[in-house]
Amino acid sequence: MAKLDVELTVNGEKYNLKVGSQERLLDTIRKQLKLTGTKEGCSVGECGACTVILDDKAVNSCMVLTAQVDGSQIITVEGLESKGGLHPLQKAFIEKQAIQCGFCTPGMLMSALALIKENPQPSKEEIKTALEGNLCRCTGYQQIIEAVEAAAEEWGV
Amino acid sequence: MIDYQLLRARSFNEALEILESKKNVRCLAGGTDILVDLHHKDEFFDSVDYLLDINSIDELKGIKLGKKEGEIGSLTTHSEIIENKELQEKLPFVAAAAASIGSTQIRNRATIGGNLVNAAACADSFSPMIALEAEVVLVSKRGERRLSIRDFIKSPYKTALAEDELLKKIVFPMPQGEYYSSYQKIGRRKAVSISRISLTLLAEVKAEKIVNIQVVSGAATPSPVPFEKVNEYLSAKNLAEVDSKEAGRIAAEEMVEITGRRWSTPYKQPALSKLVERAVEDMLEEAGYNG
Amino acid sequence: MTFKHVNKGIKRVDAYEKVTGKAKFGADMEFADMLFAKVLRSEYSHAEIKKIDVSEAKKMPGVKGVYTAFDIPNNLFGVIVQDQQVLAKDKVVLAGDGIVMAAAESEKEAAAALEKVKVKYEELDGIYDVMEARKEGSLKIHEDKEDNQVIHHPLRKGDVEKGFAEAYLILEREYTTQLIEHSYLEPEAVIVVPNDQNHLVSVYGSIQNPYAARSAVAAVLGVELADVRVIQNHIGGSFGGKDEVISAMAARAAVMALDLDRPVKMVNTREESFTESYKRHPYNLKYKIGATEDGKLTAMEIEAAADSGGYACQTPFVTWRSVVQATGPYELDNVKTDTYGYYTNNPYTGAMRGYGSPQVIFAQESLMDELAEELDMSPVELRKKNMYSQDSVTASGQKLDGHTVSLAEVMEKAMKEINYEEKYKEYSKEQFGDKKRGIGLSISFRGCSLGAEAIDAAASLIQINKDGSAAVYSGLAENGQGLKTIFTQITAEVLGIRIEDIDYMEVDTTFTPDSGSTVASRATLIGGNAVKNAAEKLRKRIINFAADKFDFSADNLALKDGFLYDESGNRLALFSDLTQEMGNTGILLSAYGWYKGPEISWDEEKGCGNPYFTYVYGCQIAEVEVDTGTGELTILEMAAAHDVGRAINPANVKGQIYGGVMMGLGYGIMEELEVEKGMIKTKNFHDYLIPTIKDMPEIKPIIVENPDPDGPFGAKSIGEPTLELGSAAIANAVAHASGRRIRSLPLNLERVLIGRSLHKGGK
Ligand SMILES: Cc1cc2nc3c(=O)[nH]c(=O)nc-3n(C[C@H](O)[C@H](O)[C@H](O)COP(=O)(O)OP(=O)(O)OC[C@H]3O[C@@H](n4cnc5c(N)ncnc54)[C@H](O)[C@@H]3O)c2cc1C
Ligand code: FES
Ligand code: FES
Repeated sequence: MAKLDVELTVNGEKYNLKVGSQERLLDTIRKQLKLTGTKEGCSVGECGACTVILDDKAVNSCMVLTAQVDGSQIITVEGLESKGGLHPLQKAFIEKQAIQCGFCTPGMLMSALALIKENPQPSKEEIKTALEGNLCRCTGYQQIIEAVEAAAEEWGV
Repeated sequence: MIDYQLLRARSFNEALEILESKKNVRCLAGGTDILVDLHHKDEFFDSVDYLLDINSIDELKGIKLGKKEGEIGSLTTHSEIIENKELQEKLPFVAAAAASIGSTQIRNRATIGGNLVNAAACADSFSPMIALEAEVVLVSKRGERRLSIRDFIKSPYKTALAEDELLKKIVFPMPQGEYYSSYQKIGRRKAVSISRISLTLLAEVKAEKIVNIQVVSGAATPSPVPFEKVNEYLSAKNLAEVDSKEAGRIAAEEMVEITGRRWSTPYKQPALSKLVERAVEDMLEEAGYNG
Repeated sequence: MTFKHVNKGIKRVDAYEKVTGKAKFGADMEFADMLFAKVLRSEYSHAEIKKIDVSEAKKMPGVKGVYTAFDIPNNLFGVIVQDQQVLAKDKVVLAGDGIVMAAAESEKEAAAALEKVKVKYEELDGIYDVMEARKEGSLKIHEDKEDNQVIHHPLRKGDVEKGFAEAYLILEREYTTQLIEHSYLEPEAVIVVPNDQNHLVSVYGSIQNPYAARSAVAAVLGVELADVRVIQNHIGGSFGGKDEVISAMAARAAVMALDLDRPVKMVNTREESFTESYKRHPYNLKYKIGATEDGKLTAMEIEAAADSGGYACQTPFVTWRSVVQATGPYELDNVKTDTYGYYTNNPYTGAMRGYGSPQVIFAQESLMDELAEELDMSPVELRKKNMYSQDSVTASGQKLDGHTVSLAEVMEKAMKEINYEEKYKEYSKEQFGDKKRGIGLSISFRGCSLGAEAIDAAASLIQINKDGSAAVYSGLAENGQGLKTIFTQITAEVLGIRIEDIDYMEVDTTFTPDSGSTVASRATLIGGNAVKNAAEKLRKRIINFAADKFDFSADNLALKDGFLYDESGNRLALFSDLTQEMGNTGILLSAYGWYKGPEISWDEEKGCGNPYFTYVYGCQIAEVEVDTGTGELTILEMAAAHDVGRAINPANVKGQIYGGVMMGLGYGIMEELEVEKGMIKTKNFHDYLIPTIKDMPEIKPIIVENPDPDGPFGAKSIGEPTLELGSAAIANAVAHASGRRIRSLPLNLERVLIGRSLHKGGK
């Protein structure tokens, strides 16, 4: 089967890639680009561990074929920290103890980032809606909500 | 072994040409049903040689709500439906159904067209669309045809879509005058939850009398259908005469007539009855008729 | 006492890696020349294997090796009973049994090869119900055993016949609990590297218990423990679940890696994880309880039968914890309990957060509410009349005198926080409309650490560098619970240095002594003591050196904030200057720490003794809203008060409470693995539902601190107690709200609305 050409901008860097017809965005990110911060927890869109930002929207990268998103902008957890240091969301997750095993954390951060970018002052209910597709088995979610609230307060304008 | 070639349509016409010239082509919209099938190596792929990505076709996108008629492009995502202010205001039950689907990530990708063509019994877009008496617009190189959604859906996971056809959009008459609606859904948890039972009620009222009524099942029956007997009961009634409990009872009975007694009936019967009762009460309350 | 680092909610030391995506989990690891392997699992839950034909599979592209049980040096392993097969040989006893494994250049090729394997089975009748398994003369699952019984733990105290004769009221009730999945978010992953750095094999991956994995791999390969090195990676949750299943995976990968002399990686898909991993034991519980008219308990008789599935796994120990907790924290003179485990052809069951306690607590705390109702007494009053207080004697005859028995305190604090009394009164009145509210509580006592299950000791190693920085090794493993942070805090506290100067190392079985498993909420208690022990040895060494140098009495010197102080608070030297000098003088700056728990005892025949050296106490209260029209259940609020001894890191403790409460909620209201004739029907998160963020109630964590004489800085446990109480509290609240008593978990839509569960294919 013929491979397909795809141009992606991931965390600000441009990549020209060849991808197979069955290659999911998750595979491209983890296997081709070696960005292993994005996790695979279920492969069927249920857990959110694979969440990335695709053209400003949070999506499950296990539910997207890479060939579908030629020309897109993608942000993964590796794109959050900058030369200036940790992103306010990352700081808030550390500060509020919103992490235990950390397997859900990259996806949580991406869902939260998409939310705050679009809605800088989300209500608690809006935070829950933004994160409803991200399962966490460890934290019971409370400290994650607190972290997103704190980050929005500090950074969202 | 799953083996297909992914094709990317750059225009509406190119998509139609591919659908006409090649065999075993399936459209790929948001992919949230197809990629699950891919992971499960589902038999869906037994007859797929090509997946045709239709995401760049602008003709399939967007929501237009006119005075008389409304339309929703097949590629419209559930998120776009929820975020559309005009739709939220005029067709709140459509927005409510969309909001109940999957998670934020899923709604950002999943499309109404995919939901209808996939045609799962629990697909949440059907009941609001049937309540609106919507039609699907199917297009192929051979031309365009319209089909009522009820005729479009044949049985679970089967539709009238022909091999070379594409679902372009869904069109429907806009409810007129004074109208009330309700969307109800029961799932096993509070989010990312497949419907155990859902339903839509849409009523047009004139001078406190129901002039047009649609109570439509979702997930309660193998394919979504209007509850004819409930509609009959509510039709042409004065709001003051409506007994919501009675409506619920009739609906539950009708459901059992349609499905027969099944393992899930002991639960679904009382629960559906209650949902219909609540939907009717919502209507009455909106109309200012409840206590 | 005031602390500098301990008892503070300091940030997790592994947080930075985890928020940046730099933390490497098993599936993220790569080694040069690595192969990928997959396993073919059984099509039946009970069958004889007549023939396995791998010839076609071997010819498939990319395939390097295809293996069956015949290629495995020692095919049986198990921590307690060696009955678990690495790959099934002649017979499969459960649906998760692997039969053939293949290693190839890619995961896809390995999977494709397995599709070509032909296995001829002869399906056997199976046993899928534990009550069936225990019947005399029923079909035997393991031919070499006498019957299907894995274990029987009796406990006898006083005379139950006499106790029941004295009772004004006797209640007999049956409860059942379901099969559930750990649902750690990271599916299992291991990589085995052959002939690595002087070891025959090195094992990496999501390993809960590195020493158990090492023992299993060594036993299967038939080599010495020293030949096998296990290095733990970041682990994406475990909750007791990444133990035997990982051992099996590691053993398989090791066989292939050695044969092919290339690293072999195995990562489960979620479906494979559901199919192969062990679960939480379902229980059938029969309770009989007697009480006087004014509510004093006179006797309790309990029969509990746990479904062990196809293998024994940890059933003997899991059911043993049930024995100790089965009567709940109530004073009773007359007790008779019999706890059994049986083989069936269901998925096998093992350790899961809570161990054998959530099942018995659901039954026994539901029963207390049922009894209160019958006696026309409030649930709180009945509990207060009977619950343990200081110096109470337990069912096994242990006097609770070495630590603070704080049941009254946790209960009172939880009740106050959630405004229990007022809500209880309010919701006891008639409620109108479909939506009805209720409030319910449950309390527990829980033995800390392993108890009489096994030797309870742990090691640590602290190395101080000349520049004053330090590395801490422990034999217990970070599972996400925050152990690295806790141990770092303890080290910093004792040595008086900064958290930033301490490096916490991943477990590496070659460098730290075997410390047993990271289970039973024992890591802070036992492991923390071991770390403290090492740090104290080093502190003493440094202080003695300084006393010599400055001519001070050692008693008048202190280490704090990276400095040496005298008694009047004058800084005498930098910590790093001291260590520099000591290093240059040739003084050893490393120390092993060791801690062995205090003496305990258990008489297995009679079921008596002092099974644990200390206990924790907890109370959880749930406020719920029941939709009596649809069966939907909303948990509005939960208060959780737990005595942890001392919270080394309160923010961490809260995290444990939030997480445990939510896991308990899932157990209580939605989770259930569907199994049909031993075959698992729900294999991913679309049909096996765990709580989402929207299912979360408002949770009020209450940390109660009564420092324990044996805990490091007084700390005890928190991981498991948080999960064991929720389902009973919720069931009690639902009964309070709706009048419907549900005696089977989970409280799903059907049970709440019509009082019973419905299953496809059922009536
Ligand atoms: C985690 C998760 C949760 C979910 N929750 C819900 C839920 O609560 N309720 C619910 O109803 N659904 C749910 N779904 C199912 C799914 O998201 C919806 O059915 C979705 O709307 C499908 O749209 P799609 O664009 O992703 O379809 P795709 O997967 O792209 O396509 C689905 C089918 O439609 C065909 N198709 C798509 N567009 C066209 C077109 N324009 N013309 C012709 N054929 C077309 C495809 O060929 C395919 O057969 C869930 C799915 C997941 C993974
Ligand atoms: S891996 Fe994509 S949602 Fe779970
Ligand atoms: S921190 Fe472990 S799954 Fe969220």
